[in-house]
Amino acid sequence: MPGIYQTIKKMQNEGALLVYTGEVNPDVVSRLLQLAEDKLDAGGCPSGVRKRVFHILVECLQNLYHHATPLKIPGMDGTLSESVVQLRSDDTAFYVETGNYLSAANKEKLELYLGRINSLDKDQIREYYKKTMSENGFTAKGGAGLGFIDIARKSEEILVYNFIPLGDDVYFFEFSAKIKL
Amino acid sequence: MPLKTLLIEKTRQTPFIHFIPEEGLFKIGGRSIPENTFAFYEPVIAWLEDYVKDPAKVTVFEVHLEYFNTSSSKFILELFRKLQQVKNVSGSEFEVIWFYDKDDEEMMETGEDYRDLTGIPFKIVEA
Repeated sequence: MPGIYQTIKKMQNEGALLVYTGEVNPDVVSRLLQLAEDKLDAGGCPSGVRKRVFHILVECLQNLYHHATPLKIPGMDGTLSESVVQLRSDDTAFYVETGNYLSAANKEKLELYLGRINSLDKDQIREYYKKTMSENGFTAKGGAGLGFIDIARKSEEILVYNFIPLGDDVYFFEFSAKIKL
Repeated sequence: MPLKTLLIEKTRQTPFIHFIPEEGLFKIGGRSIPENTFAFYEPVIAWLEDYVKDPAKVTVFEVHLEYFNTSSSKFILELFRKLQQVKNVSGSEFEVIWFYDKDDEEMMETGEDYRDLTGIPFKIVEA
């Protein structure tokens, strides 16, 4: 397959430890977590960092499972249901990165929510987590509405994200959480 | 009919649960990261529903959790709130012992958060 060598080289240069693209279901979540754990163990990273990376990966994968709904694009066959997830590292940090399609309505909601989280400091995030956990019920998708708050808490860094417009009602959501070594 | 002991073995995604009603001892530990937390915790909460009606004189809840996901965190809060109802039976006492690894400061903080939210006497102990 021409080009695949370049693809692999590029991924290696970027420090990729694990890359997956496709549908995310419970079976995929559990296999990816197992693979990620093996990689983290083999890399000999400090147990505190390892726990935080694993924790963030759990929440990211469960976000993809619960929220990446198949989208139909007018004029296109089929639906867009594929997500992408990558775990990579460099000399200073680990990065958990995801991508998935979402509708304009969901993009608006998510953008507000992530903006709010990024505006909070460490103690405020802790309070926000407590308040959301004790007061809110479960979301329609069965989540606790806590995933990104917890990711921000464990990451202790600004959440990095981007929405790429792909048509009238479709965006591609890119997300990156950093865990410093 | 006396309530039976509840024993659930741990898996890679779900915690162990050892609840011994006559001793008032409840232990949970391991990791809790299932996608469907409802399916795992609902039967446990239903079991506690029966326990709190006729609890042991002293109820101790030991938490030895290593990891849990955010949807589990809400159910764990539910376990505390449910067990807190033993106080409705006169003379009953309830205590939580929250264990954390010495290099896991976040787990210690999480224990403090649950203590603040529930007002239950919590011992937070380095494992």
